[in-house]
Amino acid sequence: MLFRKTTRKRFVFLVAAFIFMMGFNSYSYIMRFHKTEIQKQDVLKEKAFKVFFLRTRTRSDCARFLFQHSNKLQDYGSEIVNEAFIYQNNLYINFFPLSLEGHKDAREALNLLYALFNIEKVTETLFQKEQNSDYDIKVIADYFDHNGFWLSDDIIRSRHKLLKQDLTDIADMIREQLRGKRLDVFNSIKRTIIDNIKRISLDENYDPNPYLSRVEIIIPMNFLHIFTHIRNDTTTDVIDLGDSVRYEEETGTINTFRSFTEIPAKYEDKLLYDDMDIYPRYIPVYAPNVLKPRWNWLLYEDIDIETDFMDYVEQLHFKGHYMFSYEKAHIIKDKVKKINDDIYSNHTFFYLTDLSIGIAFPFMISLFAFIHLKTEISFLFMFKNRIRELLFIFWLLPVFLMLIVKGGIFTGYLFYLMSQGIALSSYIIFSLSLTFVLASMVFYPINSWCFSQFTGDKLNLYALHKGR
Amino acid sequence: MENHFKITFPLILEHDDSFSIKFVSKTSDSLEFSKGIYYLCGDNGSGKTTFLNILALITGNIGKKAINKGTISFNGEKYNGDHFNYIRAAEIREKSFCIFPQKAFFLPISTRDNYIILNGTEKEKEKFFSPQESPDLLSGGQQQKILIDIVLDDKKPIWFLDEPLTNMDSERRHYFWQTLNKSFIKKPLMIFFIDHWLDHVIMKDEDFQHHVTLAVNMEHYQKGKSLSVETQEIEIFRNNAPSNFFNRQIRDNESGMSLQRDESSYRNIGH
Repeated sequence: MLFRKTTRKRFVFLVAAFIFMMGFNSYSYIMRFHKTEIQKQDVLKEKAFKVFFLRTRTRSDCARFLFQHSNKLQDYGSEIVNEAFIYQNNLYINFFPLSLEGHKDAREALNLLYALFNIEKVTETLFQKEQNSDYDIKVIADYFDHNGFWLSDDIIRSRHKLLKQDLTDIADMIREQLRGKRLDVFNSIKRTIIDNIKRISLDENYDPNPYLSRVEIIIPMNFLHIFTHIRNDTTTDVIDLGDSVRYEEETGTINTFRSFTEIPAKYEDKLLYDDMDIYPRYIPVYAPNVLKPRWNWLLYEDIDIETDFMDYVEQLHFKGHYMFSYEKAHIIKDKVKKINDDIYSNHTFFYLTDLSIGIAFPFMISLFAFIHLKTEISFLFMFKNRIRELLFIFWLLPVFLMLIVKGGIFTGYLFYLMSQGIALSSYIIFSLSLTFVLASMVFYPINSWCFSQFTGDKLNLYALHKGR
Repeated sequence: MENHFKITFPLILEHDDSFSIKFVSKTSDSLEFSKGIYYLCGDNGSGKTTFLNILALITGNIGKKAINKGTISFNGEKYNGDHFNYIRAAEIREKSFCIFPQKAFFLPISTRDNYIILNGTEKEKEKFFSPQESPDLLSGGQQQKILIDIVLDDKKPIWFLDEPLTNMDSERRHYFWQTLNKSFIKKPLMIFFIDHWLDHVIMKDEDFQHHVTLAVNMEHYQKGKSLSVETQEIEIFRNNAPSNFFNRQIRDNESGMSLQRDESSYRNIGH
């Protein structure tokens, strides 16, 4: 090293201060990046933020809503899910038999609802594999308690009772057009189903989604289909009708016609279910692209919220279509704003401080080197052509240190992510690389300027050699 | 091709708008230097060192932006040419110039490392330098001797020697002249030489001819004060075949060395 011993120590301290400042700043940035990135991923992956339950009060209200808004909602990249709705805090949802291969991929929105309410496995087992014939099917007589895990037995019992009353009310509405013996059969079947369905609690480790905690019970809508089919099935004799739905106590299953568990033709792709018209119903709107990751000038990634859709939903709230979606819309907006603000401030702070440190400290290092080495360098240049090497070395030194510090911290972060099994986007490499490249580029002319007395058109080696 | 300088006057050097120095030949507008030894004679502060520094490309303005009306060209390449810059200047210095600075100086490393970094052309010669000894701890005379060994390189055709004999005893002067003589025999050189104690020797030496007289005008500008102008002269003497001169110096210093030894023995006997 060309420095004298005492100067050498000062130079080493200056370099150490640079490494420390750069390392501390990068570390602090990565820690905050990690925190905001986890929050961002949580929000982006939150299934509940992809579905909005909008209220319609009556059947005619629902019909009007579908007529007025379904096309508009489609324009915003969303769709109304026709196979589920919330009625009396209970979610009624279609369970499709496994024999309908391929429907799962096509029904992305319904799959999301299954996942959201943690009923993916039970949808697969609702229909028993052991079948009597091509025409019959066995259905497990269960409903699913969505958030009853923490409730006392008394409350559960009371909810079960209320559910049965709801189902009875619905069945009574359906029976309106039935007459005579047919009504007797219908009532018998109603009792068979309603009396025998039982509560199945979900996985003990399952926590109900806080954004959907108002849903108490999940009921396979196939039970309603059975009632509706019985009412509409005019081809079967009354005696045969009595055999069409049987409860088998040993297996806890309902044996019925396969066709009775499918969506009635009149309700295919519709949500009206005119049998249930006492209370408001909440229809699900599937909006998978409300929240998306967004790059800002390739500087950082935050969350882009589909403002048009959210504004539209807000308008709907003012028109009375609120409840399940109202609070969620506000929660989404607040969360996204907070996370985006954090991401913005973290990146802005990092870009400014890192570039400042990455330029100012190397500048000080080069200046220090020039001031303390000008005599030695000018003496060296009298004999050797090492100007390019000198400029390169004092440019490369801080650049190399920056690379080591940032590369080391980034590698450590990747190891941390791997050890924790966290699958995060490692796009942080872009911001680290960008500041590194920018600082390196900006520092290049600054470094040359520091040594300009050796590189100008005015040769001055003699004066510099004398220490002037 | 024989190395040569051609200077077109006036040569002007300015320092930060506070000082300017102008060199003009008293006999013609241009001046040439080729093989031989050139001795620069003049009072202190007459600009001898500055003139050598301009020639040796360690001070002065270069490139197309240089304001000089006159110029120096080395082997036909002008210092104020369009393509001449600090890189080209460094290349010429490294390839052609040996510069013995007025002030002995070393890098803060061992003498061997100094040689390797500053010269390093001969592996065999490296062994003569100590790998541990720091040149900063040596006396002025010893430093000059080591600097001679490090800097003077007969592979380079132009030598600029600015008072190399100051602080040297007869033995080291003897060594210096021997070095010059051997190098000149090996390969003809162009040597520029400044010394304050050889003026009368050079002027009387029959092998040296007067080459040129340079008039040096120096102007000092100081804020709030009137312009101060000073005029000096530099005489340049030339010797095309300096071997005889070198041999005479070697002999003179040999006698000086024996006189020193005699005095030393006399003192020892006296004591």
